[in-house]
Amino acid sequence: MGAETYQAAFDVLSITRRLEQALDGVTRAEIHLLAYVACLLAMFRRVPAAEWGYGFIRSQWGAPFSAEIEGALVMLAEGGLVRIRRETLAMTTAGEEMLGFLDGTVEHGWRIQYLEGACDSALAMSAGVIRDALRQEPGLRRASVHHEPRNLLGAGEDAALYEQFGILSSVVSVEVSDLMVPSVLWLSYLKEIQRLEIERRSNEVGLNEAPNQSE
Amino acid sequence: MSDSVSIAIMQGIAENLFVNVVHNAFGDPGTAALREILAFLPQHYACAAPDLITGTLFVIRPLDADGVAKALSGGHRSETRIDRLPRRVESVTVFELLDTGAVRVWEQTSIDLTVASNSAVVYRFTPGREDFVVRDRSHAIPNPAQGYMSVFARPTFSSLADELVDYRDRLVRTSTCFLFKNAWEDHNRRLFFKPGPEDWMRKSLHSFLMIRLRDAEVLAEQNVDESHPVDVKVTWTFTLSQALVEIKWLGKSRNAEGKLVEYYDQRACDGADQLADYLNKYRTWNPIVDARGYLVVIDGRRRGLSKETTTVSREDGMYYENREIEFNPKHHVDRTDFDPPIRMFAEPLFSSEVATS
Repeated sequence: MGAETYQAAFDVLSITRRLEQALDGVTRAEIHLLAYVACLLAMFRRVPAAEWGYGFIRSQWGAPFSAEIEGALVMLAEGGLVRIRRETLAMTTAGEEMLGFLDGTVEHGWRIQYLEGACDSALAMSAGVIRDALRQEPGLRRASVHHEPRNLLGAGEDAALYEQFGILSSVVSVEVSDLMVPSVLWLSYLKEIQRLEIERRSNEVGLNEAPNQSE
Repeated sequence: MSDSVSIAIMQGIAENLFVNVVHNAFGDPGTAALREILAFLPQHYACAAPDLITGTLFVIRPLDADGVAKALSGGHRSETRIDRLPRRVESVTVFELLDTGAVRVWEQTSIDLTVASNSAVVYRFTPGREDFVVRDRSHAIPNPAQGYMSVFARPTFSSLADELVDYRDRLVRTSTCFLFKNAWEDHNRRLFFKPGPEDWMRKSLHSFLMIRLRDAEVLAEQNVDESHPVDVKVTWTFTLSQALVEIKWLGKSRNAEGKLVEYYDQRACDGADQLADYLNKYRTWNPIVDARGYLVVIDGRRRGLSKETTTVSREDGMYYENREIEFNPKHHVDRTDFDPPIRMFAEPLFSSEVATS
């Protein structure tokens, strides 16, 4: 098993522990989604995507997906570190102990701030809203024109993302200690530009006008 | 979009977004306190639905205990279990989150909001609005499905059919959804729809499902083939399951010139035929997808409504409340990929209510 799966396993445990109580368990899709947000927050702090430890694709369902996260989910469930209850994940005592140990290690500890920022975003706005907002994230947006799954955050494909982060950092410093602040602001910004785009398209095709109706 | 426009949008959001406002006002201790409130709210609302709040609920996390002590007066008690907190709030109730993890409950209390919001992070819920009060200024919490009581009342795992029932009962029945309200010519009467009300109905249902379905992508106006869009498409992750949701409305719409358009039972039947056709087309284009059809019929019919009508009696207004539609053919019986149509009756305001509204 590669180092990627261990990083992914840490992220699964970390996200599950942070949100299971507030959200009454965490779903598989939410874990993929929030791991992706965490990776983006690391990029906001200029950590290259290649150093995140594992990659993502835009899945056939439109949302970000990581094969390493999926592998880690299976491994953790089989190993009794998480349990699946009503289609959501929850920690076991063994999982808690493992995470307690991993939190203190250099290999994993650096990721905590990003995972925390992503999970806090899911407390401030629902996973559905985050998923919807991310459709405006440049990588997912670019990949959405293809029917087949596409790799995300590849080298040389992040210029548009860094452009958005440049705008974000003009309002919130990259060095802000609590990543919930830029995370929720950026996601709210994505949601707003989506709203503006829908409004613009509606105006273009005259959706706001009355349709042809007979008396 | 130019950088300067993007920065202006970002700054505009930041000025009122509660997370930024709390951080700017109180720094890291403020966001730590905010985080505790954000984690508390979904757990509380899982035990006590926000529908039960008819007064005002405050949830505060002190940053300066002395300041908070000066802001609150009245009796209080401590509670360590969330499921034992008061569920109904009829006047003013304050939950003060303590360092110990317990909650100090102040019921029928009075709160000096100026003092409290300078010494604590303050969340406030009143029916129809929730906000954070920071240094005496209110910052509304964005709610994509306005009318759905609280953004912090998080969904549990449930089926699309369950969610549609919830949408019918909570948002359509009395037009509590702010998006849905826009479908009415006058939402204080709810007699006639506007021309083209389906746009607002679609936006309303799309927003609701987007926040309610935890593991699904919810998109509005998606094509089933080259040219036919279905109102809402739901794609569940990790499965091949999809739902095509078509919305039809019944009743009368009226434009500014008073021109009426009216739809009755046949419109719903046509919608069912259309959806069945969409499912066939969709299957041709996406043979491996397991698609299921859901017909939503928004029913705004009133008895005896003419161009001149301005009010309606309870008897006429509710005449169609329980009058179901006879579908022929019955796609929901004949096919295995077609859910029973769900009719959502939207009540009017009656003569007596209009007078007092």
